[in-house]
Amino acid sequence: MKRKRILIIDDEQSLLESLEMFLSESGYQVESAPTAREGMERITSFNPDVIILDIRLPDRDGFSVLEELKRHKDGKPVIMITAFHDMETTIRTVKLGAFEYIPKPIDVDELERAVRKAMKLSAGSTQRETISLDTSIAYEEGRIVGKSGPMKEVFKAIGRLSENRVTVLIEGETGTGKEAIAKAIHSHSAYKDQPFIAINCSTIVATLLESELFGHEKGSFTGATSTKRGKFELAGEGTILLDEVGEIPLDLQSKILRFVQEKEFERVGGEKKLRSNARVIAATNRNLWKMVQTGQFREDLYYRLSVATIKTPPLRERKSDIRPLVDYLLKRINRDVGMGIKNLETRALERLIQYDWPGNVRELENVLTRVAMETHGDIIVEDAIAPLLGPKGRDDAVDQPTSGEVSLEEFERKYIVRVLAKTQWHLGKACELLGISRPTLRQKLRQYNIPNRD
Amino acid sequence: MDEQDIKPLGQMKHAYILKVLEESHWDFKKASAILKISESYLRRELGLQAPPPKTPR
Repeated sequence: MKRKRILIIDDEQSLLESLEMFLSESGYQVESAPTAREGMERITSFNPDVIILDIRLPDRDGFSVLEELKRHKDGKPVIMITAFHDMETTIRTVKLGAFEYIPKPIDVDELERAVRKAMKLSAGSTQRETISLDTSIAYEEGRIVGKSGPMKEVFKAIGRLSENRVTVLIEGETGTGKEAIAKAIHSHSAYKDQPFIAINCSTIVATLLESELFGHEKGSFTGATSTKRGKFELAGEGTILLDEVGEIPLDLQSKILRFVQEKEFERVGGEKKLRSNARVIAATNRNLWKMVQTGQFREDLYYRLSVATIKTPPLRERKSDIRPLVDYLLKRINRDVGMGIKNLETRALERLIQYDWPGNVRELENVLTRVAMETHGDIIVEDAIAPLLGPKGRDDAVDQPTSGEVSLEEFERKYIVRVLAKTQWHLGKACELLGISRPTLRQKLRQYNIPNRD
Repeated sequence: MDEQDIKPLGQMKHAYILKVLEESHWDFKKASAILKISESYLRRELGLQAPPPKTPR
């Protein structure tokens, strides 16, 4: 088997000898160069898999050598070694894209570990099957990414609800973008220039929540040194998002109900009736209806809040959106964290699609940010992703079809027949439920030899 | 099956594909054989592969 190649560029003769000996015994083919000029020549002739580079060289600064090496598209991993292990040197080394930074005196075990990891990366860059990130995708603050069926329904709902001012209840698991949807309804409405105010009801203690929402008069309680306007007042003609609405205590729920019904309220400690025309959007990751049944949430408030409802789909039910989300999020991460990720190993994307994402898009964003920050070079590899994904987690398979190992066509045929039976073969109703047009349904009836009993 | 449990066809097909993939331990070859679809169709469905370019008629 061909031995992996390492080039060491360092002017310290004794160190060169000992490293050459150590790495050769570890099974690598090693060559060395005492100057930057000789080093650059050897890179062309020897074609190393990994380069070990000293920061201080007699003819050139190691940093400038590193910069030059990194400019090459297929730049090999560079491990920097130096006697200067101060913060500035470390930061500069990492920023310039060194794979690893090892201070002198060299701990050979640490060096070997770094070499092994770098070899893996080097081998991967030529052998890995990769996917290029879609660079055409534009990053816009607050944009909701998704092309899947469930997300199309969400977009339609946003369109409908931005045309009026009815109260909306957004239900969905944590990290599914409930606030983004509320913002989208607001920003597509005629009152988009009015304030959008979000308040997370779970992060404010119950005693302060009332004052946060409705404001307070000076001297109404200890610490109320001045009159303060509440969120309902501040929202004016705009929108107020009551996030985690299920956390609002029962006694405060009645005051919210009054506001939702009559648009009237009083500040804490105040007597004057105030009015606000703010639109209320509520969001929750809890089953609010269950809370009503167990007496934790007022039924009348539930009905008032849920005039219109949007259910945000969990990421595991729209896995075809993972790819565009990865493109989009990495674009933002590249910009924010100053990274240059351009490719993703196919296996890495497969791993992302296989995972259940209990924390949904927020968890995906966290994982991508962490992995991007730990990535050397421009490609995210599977090995970097795998340790960041939690255990598979969910074992419930609610609403999941059972496979029974039938073909996709057979599954489709059976499902269409079930829906037709349910609607008593009313094609119009079936089309509506199946989310397909009448010509498409007719074509499928012909394809599967299903008699048309309409 | 109640009416409110009926999901759009595309959503159900996507969920079924995922179910088969999970049951075949994400072996794309095996899953595409069960589903009787090509491996590339399966990959496209998951966004692992770009859809083929549209040819002008």
